[in-house]
Amino acid sequence: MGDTFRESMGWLHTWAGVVLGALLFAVFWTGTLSVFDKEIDRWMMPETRLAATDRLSWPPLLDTARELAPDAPFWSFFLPSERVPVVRIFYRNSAGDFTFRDIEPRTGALLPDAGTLAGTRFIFPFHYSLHLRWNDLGYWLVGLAGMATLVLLVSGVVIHRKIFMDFFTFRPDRKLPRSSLDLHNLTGVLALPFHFVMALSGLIIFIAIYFPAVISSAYDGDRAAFYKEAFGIYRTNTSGEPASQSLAPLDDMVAEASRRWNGEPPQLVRVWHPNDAEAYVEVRHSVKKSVSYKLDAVYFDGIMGAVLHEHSSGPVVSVQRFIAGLHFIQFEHWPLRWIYFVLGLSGCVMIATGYIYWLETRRKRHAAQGLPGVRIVEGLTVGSVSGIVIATLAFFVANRLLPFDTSFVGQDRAALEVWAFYLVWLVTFAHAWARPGRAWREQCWTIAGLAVLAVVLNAATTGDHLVRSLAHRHLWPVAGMDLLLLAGAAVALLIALRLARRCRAVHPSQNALKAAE
Amino acid sequence: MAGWLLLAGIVTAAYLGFALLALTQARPWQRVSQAAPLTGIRRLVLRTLGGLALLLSLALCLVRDGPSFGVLLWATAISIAAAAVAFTLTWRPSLLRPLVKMVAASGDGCRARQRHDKSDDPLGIDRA
Amino acid sequence: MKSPTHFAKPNNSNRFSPASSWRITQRLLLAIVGGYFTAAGIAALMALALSRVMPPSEAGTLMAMLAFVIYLALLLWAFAERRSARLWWVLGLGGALAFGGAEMLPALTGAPRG
Repeated sequence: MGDTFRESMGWLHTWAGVVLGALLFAVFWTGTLSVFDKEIDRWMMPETRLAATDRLSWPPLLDTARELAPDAPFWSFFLPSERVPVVRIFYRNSAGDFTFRDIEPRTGALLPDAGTLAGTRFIFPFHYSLHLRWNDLGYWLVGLAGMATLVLLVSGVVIHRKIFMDFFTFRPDRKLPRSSLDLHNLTGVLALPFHFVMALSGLIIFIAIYFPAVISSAYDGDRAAFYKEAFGIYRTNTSGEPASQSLAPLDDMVAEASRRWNGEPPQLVRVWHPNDAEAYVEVRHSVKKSVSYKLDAVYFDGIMGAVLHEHSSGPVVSVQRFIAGLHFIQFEHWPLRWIYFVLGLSGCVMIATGYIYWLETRRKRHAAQGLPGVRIVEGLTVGSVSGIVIATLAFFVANRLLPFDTSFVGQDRAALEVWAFYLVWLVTFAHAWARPGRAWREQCWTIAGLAVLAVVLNAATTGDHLVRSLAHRHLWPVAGMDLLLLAGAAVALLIALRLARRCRAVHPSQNALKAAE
Repeated sequence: MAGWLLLAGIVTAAYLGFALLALTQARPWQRVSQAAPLTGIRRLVLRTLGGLALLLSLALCLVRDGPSFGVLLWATAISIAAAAVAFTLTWRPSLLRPLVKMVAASGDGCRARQRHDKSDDPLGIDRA
Repeated sequence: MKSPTHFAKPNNSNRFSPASSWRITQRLLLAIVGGYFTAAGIAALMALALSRVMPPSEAGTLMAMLAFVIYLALLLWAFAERRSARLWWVLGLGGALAFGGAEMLPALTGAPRG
């Protein structure tokens, strides 16, 4: 492993990077996309492309909820915001599944079933749980990725010999090992605070999952009180008797909560046991105005409207909420949102260039000695870098191609889109291992093609082409997505062309042979 | 409106700060100028100026967005500014030539005064 | 003279030999699993102590956050440390004691939460 500290860290950095880089890229990529998850929602759910509004009316909302889910144990209303122009209601349906619908805020009109999980229900949960529910396996793998990121960042700094001299160095004209290492160092060092804080803050969000023993210890072994005292999760039991009268006006409850919060609005109103005599209403603090992802809440008696319980964080928990807020980025701050997106992409470039450096510095030796390492890792790299990008684009394209009410072998459209993602991803791995040397280039071409296709399909199926979407403020999310897709296509195209040029330069004899055929 | 102006100021100050810091290093300096890289006092002064520009950027962030958002904006924006300087040095180093000219001019002024003091022109007749 | 428990730097010819594979596996398990339980144990013991002077929700949250930093330090040390004996003592026995102690201490002291 190494005789000196630096050598050990070198060994650790290389092995952790090669073995876990694929997982890391998946988490970084979906994380970067999640910065704009609500904008992806607008793109994938055209019926929600409405103008933002602050006004909503509770009576029609409650009527709609009653029609939709009369026996549900709770109705969670996420209130509209600048980025989300609809009310989203979460509830358990008759089959017991946790599901959601979007409602027009002023009229209470139920919007058609989205038929997609889109950014907020597929891409974002993939980022923190990989959609692997079995025994929280996904959470633990992402946790491993988070710790690995911290280890890789620290070990990377230790082994970087000339970290200050190389601070501004990028030499793309040099050979691939040098230029990729330059870019790897650049994206790693210049965005080091961001990468470190993102990894650590992501882990800190889930302290209750990752270090349950620590929390239990503070409670002498009984953890249940933690959720109420730290995170304000207050629950009461149902009486079992139906309510004698309807719910007290929610507007008054919202106003009272807002008053207690110095005028700050709520982001969530949850009605518990709506039909029960012991119904109660949870009003949770907005997360838009401050960095902190606050869990401050006021609980009201559902029938009488009196305050049952108010939660606000203690000092240490407030720090945890601030750190969580740094990661969640649910606050309203457009420059910061774009900065996070660019820095997230830089993290993806950091991982990809790390792989490229490893491959290029071992290619000749492995070929000469007949070692399988480069062959295996190259397939892994291509599949996990350009492959997941292609899978994401397939997810978007499937959303535009499949009609609303598609059903195939019992899978609805939302599920079919997810199938498209995973199947296409698998194919990219197979392609990468089957066609070494050409896979990178071919997948770059595919990215360019699919991204442009997605933009064209959006225009064709929704009529919100770029000229129209740039002209209307409420369509700017769609314009942003289309523009980023086109930019991505351009980048992929440039890379494909550059790879082709490099291939011709490296194998002139092969090309001459081909020309002679 | 003020928000956009401040943001422009934040980004400009951070970019200039890193540009000045970069020019105190040999390899970046050589991308932009044929002259010998800076040493001694001039390097120190330039590094101080660069640092001050970065602090100005932080101050503007605090003015724009208050303590928590301000610090967060600065801490992330400087990564982008540093990358922008790196890419400028890679692809458009000539963009930084005005900075080099300013440094050289101040240097010539210093050198001229030094030369003058040491010369046999006590009345300053030969000063250009 | 190198001690017998010294992790020798593997050269190319025996990189995947059973001996070096076993050494690497040991190191990985001790670092990742041992390191986790050691960090959790240390943090849990401190949370237990802190919960006597601050609300338990605060103590638990504070130490759970710091546990990640402790874990990071242990991971880096585990790959830098050359003597496998030390790794076994700290991450193996030490971790078991810390974690086990944290789990059993509340039951042993029997003090009900105020």
